[in-house]
Amino acid sequence: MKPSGRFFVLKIWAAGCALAVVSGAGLVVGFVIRRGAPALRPSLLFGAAPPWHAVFGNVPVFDGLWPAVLGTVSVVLLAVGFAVPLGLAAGIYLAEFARGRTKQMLSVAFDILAGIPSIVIGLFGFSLSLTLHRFVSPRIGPCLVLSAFCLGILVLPYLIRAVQSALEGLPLSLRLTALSLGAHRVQNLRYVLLPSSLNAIATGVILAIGRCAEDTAVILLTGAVALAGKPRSLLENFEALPFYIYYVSSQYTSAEELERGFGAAIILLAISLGLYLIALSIRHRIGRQAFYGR
Amino acid sequence: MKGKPAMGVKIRLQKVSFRYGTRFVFQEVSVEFHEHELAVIVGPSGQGKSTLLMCLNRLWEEIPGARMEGEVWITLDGRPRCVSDPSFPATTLRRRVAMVFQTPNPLPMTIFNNVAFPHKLMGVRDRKTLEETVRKALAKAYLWDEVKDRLHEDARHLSGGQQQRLCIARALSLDPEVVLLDEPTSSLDEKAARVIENLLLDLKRRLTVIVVSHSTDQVRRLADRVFRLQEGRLFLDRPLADYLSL
Repeated sequence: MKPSGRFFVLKIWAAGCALAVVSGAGLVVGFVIRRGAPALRPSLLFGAAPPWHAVFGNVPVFDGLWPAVLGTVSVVLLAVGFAVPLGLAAGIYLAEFARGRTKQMLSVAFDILAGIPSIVIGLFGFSLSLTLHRFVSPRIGPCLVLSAFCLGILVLPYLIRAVQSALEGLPLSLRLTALSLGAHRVQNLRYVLLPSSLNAIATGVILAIGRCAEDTAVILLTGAVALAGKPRSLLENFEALPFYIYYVSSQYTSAEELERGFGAAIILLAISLGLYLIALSIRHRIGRQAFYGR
Repeated sequence: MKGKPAMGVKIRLQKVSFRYGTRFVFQEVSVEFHEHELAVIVGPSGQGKSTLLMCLNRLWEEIPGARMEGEVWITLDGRPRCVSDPSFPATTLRRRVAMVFQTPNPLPMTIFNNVAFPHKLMGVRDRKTLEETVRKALAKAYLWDEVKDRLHEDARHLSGGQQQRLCIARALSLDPEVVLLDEPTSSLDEKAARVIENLLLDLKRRLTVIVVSHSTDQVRRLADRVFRLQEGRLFLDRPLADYLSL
């Protein structure tokens, strides 16, 4: 086959694969929306409680997903809030300061951490809660902050690698520009290297948000329960949408209950999309501030 | 030729050797560049011409695995200083020995912010001072008239030649005494290159200018003296008259 023919085949194959991935994702989302759309009513979120009073008042929601929505958003924000600063710092250290054996050893350690199944991290969290319960305070058990901490550990290696590869991928000419103008290394990092890596870092954060929002194994063992109500404290159990979806899909007793599970999946997708848009807007603002700020 | 540079000598390299890991790029290079001189360094690719420039402003220190031995003396503010000594602050040195790279490298900011950037790093916040600095620097680089109405546009939207003059303006804004240019016109068309060459001829009246070039025509048009870096050695090339007769 001529080189031009081989290139054509490669192009068709690559385009076909890309299309298959998009179609697969579209199919899943379409299926979930089709099955869950009939359940999307205010009562899915708020049960018998009046929505306004459920959101802004203290009216408890007994038969709706509102507490699970609040639980999911809380656990994702806490986990990302814990993991992003740590991941950013560790990624910067690996890319900019670590050299030789230290860098090699840390890279291997983070790769191993990335490969640990989430159920194992959940078990670690559960064991941690037992230890804390026994040696620190009997009040401590599986709870919101423990789930967020474990989810943070789960996404930390992805964040670190995202930051590291974003910084290491910058061309030498860009690295040297500010330095040649008298910037010291911290200024170079702050004003040139990090703003130039924002896109790749934001992608890492967005993936981390998605991973935190969907993971069930970790929260199952570290704090999520079926009926906890709105999250009231960091040290209490909470409800979460992925846990609800898992619970309903494995134990549903009627078609209507399964439909509510699909409805919950749509809400989870919407929350992920909302957090994704917030992350994009923060990236945009930081980017503008960094490059165009006066 | 030892120690501090004599009167009229701006830069003295004394037995400067450079290596990446165990691979030597050049060894025991000793050379003097004069005040208000436009010196051109020529030689085959990969012989270390850019690296030699980076020895003058210690930018090599930012490249992992690089090592330099020997001494570099530069007369700054009328005083000979051993700038290769680690006790001499690299940030101060790089403001006085400015560098322009082969490919124009405006930062992803506005035209104004690109030129104001090094001054902001030094803590200058006064808007009026910054505006005056930016105007003067852009004028020195023959760019003010072309961009004065679009200072707050993204610098990457300028043409290649304008971008390179912006980079020169940014370097000149720091009021350097030496300007190093690494093939500054190699990515530009003939017309844009000529504008920059005229600018360099103008600059040498006030500064010491060292240019790496591959173009014989450019050497002929610009050089006061020509040095050749080849096989790890730097030597004064054939007399300039030979270039003029080429």
